[in-house]
Amino acid sequence: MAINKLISDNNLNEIVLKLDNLTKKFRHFFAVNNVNLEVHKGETIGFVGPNGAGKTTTIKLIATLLKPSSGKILIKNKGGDLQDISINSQDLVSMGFLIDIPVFYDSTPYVLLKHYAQLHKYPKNKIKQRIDELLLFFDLANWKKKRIKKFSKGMKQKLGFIQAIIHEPEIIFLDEPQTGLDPKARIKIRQYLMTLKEQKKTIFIASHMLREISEICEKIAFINNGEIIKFDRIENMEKLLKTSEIVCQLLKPIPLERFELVEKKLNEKLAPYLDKNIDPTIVKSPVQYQPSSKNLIIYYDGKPESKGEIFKILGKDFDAEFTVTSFSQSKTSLLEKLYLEEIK
Amino acid sequence: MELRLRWKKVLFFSIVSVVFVLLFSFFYPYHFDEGKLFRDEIDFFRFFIIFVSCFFFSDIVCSEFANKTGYILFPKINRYKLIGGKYIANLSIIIFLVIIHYLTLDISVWVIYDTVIPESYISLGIAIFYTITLSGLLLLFSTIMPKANLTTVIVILIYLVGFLILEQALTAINQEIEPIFSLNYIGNLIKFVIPGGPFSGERWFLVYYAGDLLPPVKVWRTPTMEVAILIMSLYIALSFLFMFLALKRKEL
Repeated sequence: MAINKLISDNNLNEIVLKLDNLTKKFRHFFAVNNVNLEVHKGETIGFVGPNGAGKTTTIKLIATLLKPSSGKILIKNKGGDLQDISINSQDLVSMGFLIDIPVFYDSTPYVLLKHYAQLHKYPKNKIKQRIDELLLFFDLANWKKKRIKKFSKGMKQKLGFIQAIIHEPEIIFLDEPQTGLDPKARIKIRQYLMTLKEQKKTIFIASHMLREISEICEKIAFINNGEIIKFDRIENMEKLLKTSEIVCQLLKPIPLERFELVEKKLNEKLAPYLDKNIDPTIVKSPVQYQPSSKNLIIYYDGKPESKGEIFKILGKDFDAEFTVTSFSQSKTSLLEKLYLEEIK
Repeated sequence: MELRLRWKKVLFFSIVSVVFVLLFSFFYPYHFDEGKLFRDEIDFFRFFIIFVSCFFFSDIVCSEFANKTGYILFPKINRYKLIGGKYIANLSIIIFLVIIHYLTLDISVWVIYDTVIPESYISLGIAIFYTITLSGLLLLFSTIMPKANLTTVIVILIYLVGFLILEQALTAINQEIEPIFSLNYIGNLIKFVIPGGPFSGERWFLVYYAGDLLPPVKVWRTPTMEVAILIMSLYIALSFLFMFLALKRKEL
């Protein structure tokens, strides 16, 4: 029995959601096993795990679509206290849910969104404007009065996202929000999530897509076999890997016969800033080159000043060897490494 | 919302109901007084009530679970409130259809026989109560069963086959025991509350299947008003109680 409790280290210490030894058992199978989690106001949490890990079940339990076998789900109520939703699910702060692929009654987006907004007691005089704004943002304005049964999967998913936020909820739960979406729609959803984040909304996203999660979320919970195996801020997770990564896109490829020399020079010049504690099972060398993508990957000690120095050295001392066209720090590949480490 | 989604079906069944009454009233040759016309028509109408009730009530609960529309709705609104709202909306639709039907029938009787049957209002009241009873049963099965079609088939089987078999079995065991458990039997009150024709209020009659060779069989025709109301109330209370318990346990 693993207890995976981790209190947030940020200063937004108002807890809005608390899972307390939450367990859901289907006959002999533990879909969610003794999960402990605290989510603070304004946090964006990524809930990551393989298929069948318990992500959707956890969200369904919070949405009261399923009943816990044991444990508690506590959510902030309008009075500011944490309330056990199994005892009373009224008077909670407003929440929005997108669970699974949404299924709508056969009607039009306008009629249904209006209905959903009314169910949430959203101010009547603002409903029409809110629907119009959201449909326009998500490129569904022309479909406002069309039957939903004619919609594509991606359009339904966008509509599902809109219904989750139509009433401007305090806490938003999204289960695989990017499913079935084209790249443009994904960008739109990401943009909107960033806006919600700026508005200090609490967002809880379950997804397989580490790239999306790493761009939006500041904290990640890895879940596997119904248990949370790691829950922390992304930067702390990177520290766990004892390395940080810079990806340099080169203008021209380095000839392979010359790379050995270039690598040696890179190791010498960048030595003070490179990560000296690299785990060889995860990263073989602190300087790596990917000829196919013309990417030079540098694992450094994670200090911001080191990053600046590396940037200067690459521009000044390697002018003859290569030209760096972009200098980026990807969270994704690190997370992928950590994910693969944890979800064995 | 429910009314908005179903208005086309309501319109269709209203037209069917009215057209059926008109055709029956003006083309059915076997009525020789207003009572007989009313009773015979209502006898058919009982099946219309059952069919329409199945149509409107059978998917109230199970569709939210089977089609997964509940994923969007249940987190927004308490499931009892949602199901309660849908139930009231559908019940209102069926009561509206029943009233339309009775009004058309009353008008037809008035046109043909130049009279109004005062007992038709009592019959209407019983028909509405009977509809509520059926709806309770359908709501219970809609909660237990995974699909609306299955709910419809089971309720129709219980009604048309189950109750009849039990009634026959009871007659074979003891003819003096009135089959008050049967909704089929209870439903007879809707028509037998209307006087006229050869019927003058007897609650049972004797059938001589083999002349004088075998004793006659007592066939129960209709329950008393008090018993019918009591039994229907019991059905309603038990249906809603078990539905409530089943819905509480139901998960998506």
